[in-house]
Amino acid sequence: MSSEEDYFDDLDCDLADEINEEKQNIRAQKVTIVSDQPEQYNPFEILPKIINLFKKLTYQSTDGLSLSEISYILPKIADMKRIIQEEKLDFIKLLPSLNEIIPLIKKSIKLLHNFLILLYKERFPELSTLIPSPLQYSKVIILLEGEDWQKSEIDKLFPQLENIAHLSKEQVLVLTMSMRTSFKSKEPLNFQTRTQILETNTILENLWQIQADLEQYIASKISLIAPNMCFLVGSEVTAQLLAYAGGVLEFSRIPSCNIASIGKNKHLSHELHTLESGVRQEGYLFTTDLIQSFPVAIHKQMLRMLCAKVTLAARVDAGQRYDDKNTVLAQKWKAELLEKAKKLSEAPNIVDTKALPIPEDQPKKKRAGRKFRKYKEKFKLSHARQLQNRMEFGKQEQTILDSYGEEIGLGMSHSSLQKAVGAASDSRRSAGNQAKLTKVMKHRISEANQQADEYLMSLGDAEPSNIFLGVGQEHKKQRTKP
Amino acid sequence: MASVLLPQLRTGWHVDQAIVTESERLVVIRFGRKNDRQCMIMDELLSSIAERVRNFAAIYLCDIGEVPDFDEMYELTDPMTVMFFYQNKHMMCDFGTGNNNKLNFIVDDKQEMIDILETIFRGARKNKGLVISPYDYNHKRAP
Repeated sequence: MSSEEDYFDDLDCDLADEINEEKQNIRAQKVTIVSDQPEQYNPFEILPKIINLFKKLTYQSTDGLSLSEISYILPKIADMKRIIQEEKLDFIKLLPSLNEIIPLIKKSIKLLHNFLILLYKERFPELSTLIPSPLQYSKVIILLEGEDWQKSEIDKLFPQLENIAHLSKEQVLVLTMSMRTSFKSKEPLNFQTRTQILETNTILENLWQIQADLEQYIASKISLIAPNMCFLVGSEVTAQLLAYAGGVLEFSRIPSCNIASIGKNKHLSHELHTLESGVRQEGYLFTTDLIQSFPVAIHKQMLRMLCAKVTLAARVDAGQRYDDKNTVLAQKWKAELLEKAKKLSEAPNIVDTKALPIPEDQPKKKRAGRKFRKYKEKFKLSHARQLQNRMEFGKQEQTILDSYGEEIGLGMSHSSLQKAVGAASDSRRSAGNQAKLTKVMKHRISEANQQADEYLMSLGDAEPSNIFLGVGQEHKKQRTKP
Repeated sequence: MASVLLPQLRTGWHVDQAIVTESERLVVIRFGRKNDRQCMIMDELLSSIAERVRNFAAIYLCDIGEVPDFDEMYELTDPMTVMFFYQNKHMMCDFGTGNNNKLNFIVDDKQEMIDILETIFRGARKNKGLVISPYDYNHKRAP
């Protein structure tokens, strides 16, 4: 606040009347609030008021914003600081309000940020795209506006940008590059805008600070409300996650696939996303020990598994009552995760390839004998087949067409020569390769024949027909000569 | 890369010992240079089947840059040559390429190589000096 007042002293002489009036109003309000504080200091009364104020502020559009409205914020910040420093307060009762305030603060920061962008656009239009973080943006503005930077002095700006605004080296590089083209150093801002900008900067920085303080405060107390989550990812990350979502219940409603990207930096066009681990969602969760203590190769899988477990833990925390919160499940899940991580980082098994057997040529087992000869006879060509494969010299072969229309040569099987010696060869025909009936089949056929005979007998008791008898005899013949 | 997976024969003495001392198995030696393209392909193939044929064949590599002792005796003029020995005897195989002494072309199928090794091993067990390859490689005849 002292900086602000210094500021006002500086401005006194040149300010337009309008601004002067506005300022005095602000000052008057501040004084009253500050004087009120000691008497009615009760956090549970103050906090709802603060919340209302922030709510009203966040309904505002950026265009309609004026300095007087924003200036209410500063004393509230002081109030909040006092609340945090209080030891005896019941954190659990406080937390809902704190949880409500943090997103409101975030919204306000966003609002102020947009306001700043609007104001500063004329001077340096590209700056907002180069530096997405509101705090860094405001710090860079202060540095740029603090002195009159000439092109030759830009080199002196480097260390300041890095030390005060905490910009990365690439960001500094990109910024200085674009300053050469896009920064209108020769057209200074008019006094009113300049005042507004610097005022807003102060408020924004204070808001940022109180937001960080609140998050730290919550982190210290968080293990009471979300013990399972704390056990899995630690109090700091839990607080960040809960502050983002606005409470355990709200957090438990976020699906696990979205948790990894919470707290991720805004994408910058000049950044490359080629991490060794392949993780793009470097949010709050990515910084936890459960991921960072393992080899890079399994970061991605660990992050996914951890996200799933954190969601479960949040649901458990949301479901448990304040008086009997325990971390039994979180302990189980953590052990599970560690086990899985261990298995993931193990080397794969070496598969033992089976050697082929030695190619040895075993001697043939069967070579001769009555049994083996009989066995071989089964696969012998019949006499007719053998003849079919032979050709008579100097004569045209007789052919027939089979059912598929293929021409089949009959060879010597129908030749006159064959007919001449046919009787002799017929007698030599062996029965070795004929189809054989199995015992069961033989039995079945004889039974069927017997039944047929009996039937015929019963029919022909009076007059047995010759034809039927003939059939029966043929059956018998077949049976006797297989 | 596959060349590190197979045993290297560093000197002529090692080559001799490998051939002489192996009494049960076929000895397969790839002569060539490890940075040669053909050798690299063949090494890859040999190393991938070495485990499977370990019961009847021992596969070695020999760099003809390091060990020039055999260049003259075995006429190792090709960039890549595979030779077969069984009980200190050189095994010949008719691949249909015209050179029965050695395999101086790339075999690109693992099963083909295993079949060749098996055939040579069978022949060697029957005291044959020359076997006929189960596959014809006439198309790979050196120009």
